[in-house]
Amino acid sequence: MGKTYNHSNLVQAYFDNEMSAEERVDFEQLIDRDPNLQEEFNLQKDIIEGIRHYRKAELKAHLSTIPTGGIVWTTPLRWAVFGGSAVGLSTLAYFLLFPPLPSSYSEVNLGDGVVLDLTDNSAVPARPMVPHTPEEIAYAPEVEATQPEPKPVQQSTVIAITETRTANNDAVAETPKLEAPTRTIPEYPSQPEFVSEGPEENLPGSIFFEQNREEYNVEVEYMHTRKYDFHYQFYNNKLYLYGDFEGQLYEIIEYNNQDGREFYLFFNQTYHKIDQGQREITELTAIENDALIQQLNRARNHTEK
Amino acid sequence: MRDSEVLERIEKGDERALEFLYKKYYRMMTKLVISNSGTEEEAQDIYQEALVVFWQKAISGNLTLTSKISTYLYSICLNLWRKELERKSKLSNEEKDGVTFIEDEREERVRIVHECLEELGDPCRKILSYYYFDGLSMNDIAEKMKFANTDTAKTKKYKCKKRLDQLIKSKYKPSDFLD
Repeated sequence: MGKTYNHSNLVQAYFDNEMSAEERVDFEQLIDRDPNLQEEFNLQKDIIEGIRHYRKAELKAHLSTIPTGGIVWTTPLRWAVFGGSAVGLSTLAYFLLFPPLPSSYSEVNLGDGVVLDLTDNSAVPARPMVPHTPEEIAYAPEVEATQPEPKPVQQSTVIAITETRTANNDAVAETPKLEAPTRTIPEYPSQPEFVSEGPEENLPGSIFFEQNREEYNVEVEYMHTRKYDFHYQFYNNKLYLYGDFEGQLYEIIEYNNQDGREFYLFFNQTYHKIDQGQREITELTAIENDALIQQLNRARNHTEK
Repeated sequence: MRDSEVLERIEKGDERALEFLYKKYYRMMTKLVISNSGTEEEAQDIYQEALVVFWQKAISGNLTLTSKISTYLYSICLNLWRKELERKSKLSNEEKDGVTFIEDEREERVRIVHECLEELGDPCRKILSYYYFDGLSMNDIAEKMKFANTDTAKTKKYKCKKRLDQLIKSKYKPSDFLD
């Protein structure tokens, strides 16, 4: 037993790195010559391996209890989830932004003392109305029954917010088709209207949007690559996002104004401009313009309410 | 949390930093395995293994990052998964050669040690794990376990290890362990 005890201490010193390099070499030679020492050495080696294995299993078991979201987004799943979220979000946005008009359809209180008189034909522009500033927003309740010859007017500013994961974007920006008396209200509101996707059919007393998927469909593809971190590319009407989006949702904001369409990416509480003409893979840079950030914030808040 | 902070916290043995990493890169790392013929379970296991490797290297102070943590983890996952694929492809041949029998014996020895560690109780288990797996110094162990000083940690570690050895020797024959 005494011999074993000494062996045990020797082996322990070896595994605990308490021997000098020379002592280690001597010890290793001794193992080859002494079967008892070899037996103890093998036992200690297995015990230490067992302790290490135990700790490893403990750490792994701990990690297994951590919620990760758990879903690895394969392409079909992405499409399915995105489609559902886009439709849901757009429907919500529609009803929040455009509450039903009063039953008489004659007046709409827009708040801030602004009342839109739907019977006032003088407000109807003679030709499609192009707003002068992004703040100018044309309101266009549809009252086809009382207006036999409605004149189409272009919407000044529309932002389509589409909450997406990494997939083809079904949500489209719609251009309101104004077929009823309309009025431009420059002072109201300062923010543009934000639309994801409205109802497909014309409902009495509500604004409806002309669907033009071909024109506005924006396909988004998430490209996971180690080479590019947080980059994008706009090619063939398709937006490619590169990099690590950390499993978080991001939003593509489509902003229509008189100059055309603009796209923004909202991620990690930051907005990034997306240039449609950017065919090269380019780094996403955060927008620092406070006024624009506020405007985009308002857009997002509208849809989230 | 920045990479440097994560590393700093892991070096101090803060398991919350490991949790943070696990959540942060879960999708990226598991996707690597899943898109290379792996199941989600395999992907999770490989990622956890990679994190354990990272943890062990970082906590022992043997890690100098020359890239982002994500890049480092990705390369570990990639290597681990390659090894696993190789292992799987060789599995049928090894079964014929009786290699799996040796693997079974190894697993049995590990199981014996696990059982005895469970019997030892939490403080001893922790001390031995911190020392033999995490590679913490006696000073770090004393700090982590709130011992009075390094000598106390050293004595406790010695006693715990002796108790474990005795437990194993009393319960199992040397032949259970010998190859």
